[in-house]
Amino acid sequence: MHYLSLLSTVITLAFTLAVLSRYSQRGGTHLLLWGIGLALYGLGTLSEVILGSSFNDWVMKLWYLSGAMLTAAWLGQGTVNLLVRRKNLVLTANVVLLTVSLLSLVLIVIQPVDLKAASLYDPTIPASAHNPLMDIPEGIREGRLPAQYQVILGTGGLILVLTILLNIYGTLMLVGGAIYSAYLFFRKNVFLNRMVGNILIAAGGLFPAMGGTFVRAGMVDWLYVSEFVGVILMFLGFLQATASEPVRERQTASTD
Amino acid sequence: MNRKSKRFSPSRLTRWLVPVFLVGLTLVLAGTLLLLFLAIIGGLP
Repeated sequence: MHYLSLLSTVITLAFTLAVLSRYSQRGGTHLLLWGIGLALYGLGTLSEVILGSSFNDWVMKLWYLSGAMLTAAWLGQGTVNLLVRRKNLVLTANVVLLTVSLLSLVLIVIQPVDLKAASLYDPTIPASAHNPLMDIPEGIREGRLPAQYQVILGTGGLILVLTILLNIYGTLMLVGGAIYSAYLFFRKNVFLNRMVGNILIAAGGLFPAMGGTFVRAGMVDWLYVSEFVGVILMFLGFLQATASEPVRERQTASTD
Repeated sequence: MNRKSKRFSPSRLTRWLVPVFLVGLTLVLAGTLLLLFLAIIGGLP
């Protein structure tokens, strides 16, 4: 199934370049933050491609840090920078996200790896799937079958809490912000392309957010599908929302 | 591009389809966030 991750990586790379190219032409912190978020998205899917052929503990750490922990939060932070007018609040949120991201990086780097479990890693099944050859570590709730990465990295405690909080924040800001923008354009009957674009971005942002839920429900392959569909919808939404604008005008909300 | 040209007239279909989409997306967003929240208070491993 990792061919889907490869396709997601290629599309995400194109999307990242499109966003950063727009940033280089127009500036705007939100575009830079979206570009960083998309680069993290791509690192996550690229890590899946590599983990689909062989195991490397640093690639697995990169996969968890970029894909599971940081992507949603950085994408959502881009939307916060676009929509929130209070500069002090936005600056504080940026500093908090950067601090939490650095903390996450340190926590993942120092997280010990279960070498015995790592030697049993099966690249033919997703890292988020259960491997029956691996012993179930202590602390796993009864009846739950831990994924390969959970046994190898043991991502519990503060890492788990940060992962969930970062995803709640990022999803709420990215998807909620896109829904809010689409609603404004619809209410005012202006910028049809941006209204449609924001609906696509909202839908696309929800797919990877639900990917974790699919994994928890045992539908591990759906994680790849959700990443693939999610990035396509968001890219289409971005292209639609930024389609030919002869004159730049200040607006309440958009993807600018 | 003047202000008039960026306006659009929603068709009857658009007038009800867009709110349905927006409400649907909001409900899915709420459900996704609820599941993530439950993951915290559920003390997941």
